[in-house]
Amino acid sequence: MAFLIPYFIYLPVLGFLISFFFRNPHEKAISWVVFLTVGLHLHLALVFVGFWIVLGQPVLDIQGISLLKTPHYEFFIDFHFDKITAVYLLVGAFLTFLVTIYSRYYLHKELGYKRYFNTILFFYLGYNLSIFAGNFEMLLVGWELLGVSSFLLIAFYRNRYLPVKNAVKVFSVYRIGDVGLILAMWASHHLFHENITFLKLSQAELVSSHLQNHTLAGAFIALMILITACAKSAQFPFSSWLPRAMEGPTPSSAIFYGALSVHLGVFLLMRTFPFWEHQWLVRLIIGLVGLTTALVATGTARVQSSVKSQIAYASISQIGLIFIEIAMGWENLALLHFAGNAFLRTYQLLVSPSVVTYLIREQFYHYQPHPPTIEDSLPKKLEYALYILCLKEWNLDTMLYRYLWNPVKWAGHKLDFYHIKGLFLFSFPIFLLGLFCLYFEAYIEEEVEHYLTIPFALIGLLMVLKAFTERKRVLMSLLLVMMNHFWIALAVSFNENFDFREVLLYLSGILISGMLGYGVIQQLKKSERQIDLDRFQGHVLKHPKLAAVFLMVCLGLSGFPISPTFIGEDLIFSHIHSDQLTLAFLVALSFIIDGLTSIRIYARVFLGPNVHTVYERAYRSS
Amino acid sequence: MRPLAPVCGGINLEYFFSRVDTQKLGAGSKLPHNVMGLFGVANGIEGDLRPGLPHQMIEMHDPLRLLMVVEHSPEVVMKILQNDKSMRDWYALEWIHLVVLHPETRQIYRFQEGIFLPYQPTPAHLPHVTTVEKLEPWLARNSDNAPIIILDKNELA
Repeated sequence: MAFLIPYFIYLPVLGFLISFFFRNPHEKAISWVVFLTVGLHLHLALVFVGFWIVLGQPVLDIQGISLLKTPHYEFFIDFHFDKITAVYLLVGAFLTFLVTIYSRYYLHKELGYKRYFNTILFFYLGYNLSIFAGNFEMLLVGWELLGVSSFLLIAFYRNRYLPVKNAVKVFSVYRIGDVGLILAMWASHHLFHENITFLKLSQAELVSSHLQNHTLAGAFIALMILITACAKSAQFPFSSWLPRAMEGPTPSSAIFYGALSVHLGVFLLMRTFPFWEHQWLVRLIIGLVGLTTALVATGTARVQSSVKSQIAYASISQIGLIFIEIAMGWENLALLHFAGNAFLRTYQLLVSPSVVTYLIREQFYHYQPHPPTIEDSLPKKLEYALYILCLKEWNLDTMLYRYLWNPVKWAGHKLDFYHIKGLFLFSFPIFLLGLFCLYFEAYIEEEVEHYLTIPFALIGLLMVLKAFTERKRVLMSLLLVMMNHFWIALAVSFNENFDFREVLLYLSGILISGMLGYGVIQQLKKSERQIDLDRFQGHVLKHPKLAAVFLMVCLGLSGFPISPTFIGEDLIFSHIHSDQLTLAFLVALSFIIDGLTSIRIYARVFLGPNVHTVYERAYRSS
Repeated sequence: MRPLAPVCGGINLEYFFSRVDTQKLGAGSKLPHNVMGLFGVANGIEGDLRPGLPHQMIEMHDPLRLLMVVEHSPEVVMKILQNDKSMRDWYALEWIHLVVLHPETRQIYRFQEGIFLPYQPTPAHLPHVTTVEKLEPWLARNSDNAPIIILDKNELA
């Protein structure tokens, strides 16, 4: 029966590829392709789960081909199916089918009809990859696909200012989650000395035997998983992105932020439950995060003035409660709660544009100007303080800026004194010196080698920080992102002797993306006089094909699974020793800012209001 | 005539301005609309409140101002207009057009620059059609308006 599982992945891939072949106004053809793909998927899921229940609900695990195999690292495809997957599959298939049927007519005559359905299928592919993932690597592939499809659907109205700005903001939080997952993979690789599958993770003796002597590593892995789950499910420190993501069409908001994508943090925690089950401190932290989120989000939901943000915050608070249930170990209750929350929020978001019709009867016949609330029973000062605090969303957004993005920007601006030529004159000789040292590695002491890694990683980080704050030259920003990868490769190669082919795998994707990006920008410069990163240029209106290629370039530069760089990144990370926390931190931060910078370049050059005034332009605040 | 101008004219101007500039004067597409406090819509949670109508409502309409046709004598209509300044402003400031059709002489008078001027329609050569089937080639297959066609009454009765 397990042999059927890959078909759950093949079907969305096939649908996604076929849907590209129809030209844009063929609404009927495009919508039929998507309808058939998702409908077939739903029926397959129903039949499969039916048989699975009859056969006694066995845990299925099927291991596929190995994409890369080295002496100490193996990247293989692995699919896993158990109760959690079954619930997520049924709920996901049904809700996607529902939203597809709804969108077929809702999006009639919309300019981005084909683009919308392509992205929905892409999202569905990422969702299925995540829920069927048998190891962390497959999960990361699905996770990244979901992040990109979220970005593309929030920026669906890509010629307005606010959707694009918010899409970049959401992608940056997703990026933090991606790198949290990479760090968890790194630490688990060192703990288990292999690329662990979830099947093996569920074996209690294996886990406890490894965790006995390495409690700190175990806690680190669990915390990284928690951070990833919190970033995806908009829990306590990261709650602010979810209401701002309601910029896309209503059905896409319903499916992403009501139902499927936002519950994947819950899925991650449930999937890795056997790992942190016995770590009481971690369970306590998860419960506390859930409780804090539930309280904070409920308060915020009560003061929201718009329907979708009310629903968003209410959804977050329910997920906080689900986190508490998972921490208590009540898996079945958590699954039921997930299904209920998903269906409820999808329904609420789909009917939210007509909320006036639903509530108008109440307004006419049972009008209460100031209905008494729970908060009225508190002392006035406390009530007002709570009101203002909730209105400001407990300053979560401001804190994210103040403690995370602004320091990064500050550090980047500190390097403004470096002219581009100065940067190259300074860094190139040091790079050559580094290569020289690498060549004569045998003559350098191991201790010195370990200390050499830090400055090189630091220089790489400085490169990408400068790229992040670069406002004038696009090619310069691209080049700096590429150089960051080169410096990281150099830094990690001091750690131990490994095959040059691994470095080649990592850097080949970067080089190809870089060259392609150079070509695209040069082509764009032929028709547009000036391209900079100071504001949104919106060139996708006139050059859609260039924009599509450049999107691939930016994704390739940030380690998205379309190029070997994806495997290379994980591979490079595996060479960082478990005691080199500073190096791991520097490389992780570099990857976060890499991804953020690449998407920022794409958004600034191709998305947003067009620089030419011949095109219709909306107000910046609309 | 008093309620005619605000009601019909108001509706017409809503459609007119939303059609003329959907992004700034209208409400854009209805897809990202988020209801704000049960009284207005915005795009997403931090957008402006949108004036006007969503694109899906106005995409079939041409941006034309309303034409009021009153079948009465022009002197009577002029007296009514002079008594009511707010109603006269609708027509004098050209928000909507006013045309008077004299019931007996069938002469058309157009309200321009404060007075009723006789209007001579330019005689255009319009196509005649005798049967319903012959209408087909004239009916456009897209959402544009069909041309003016004269249907010969005898055959189609």
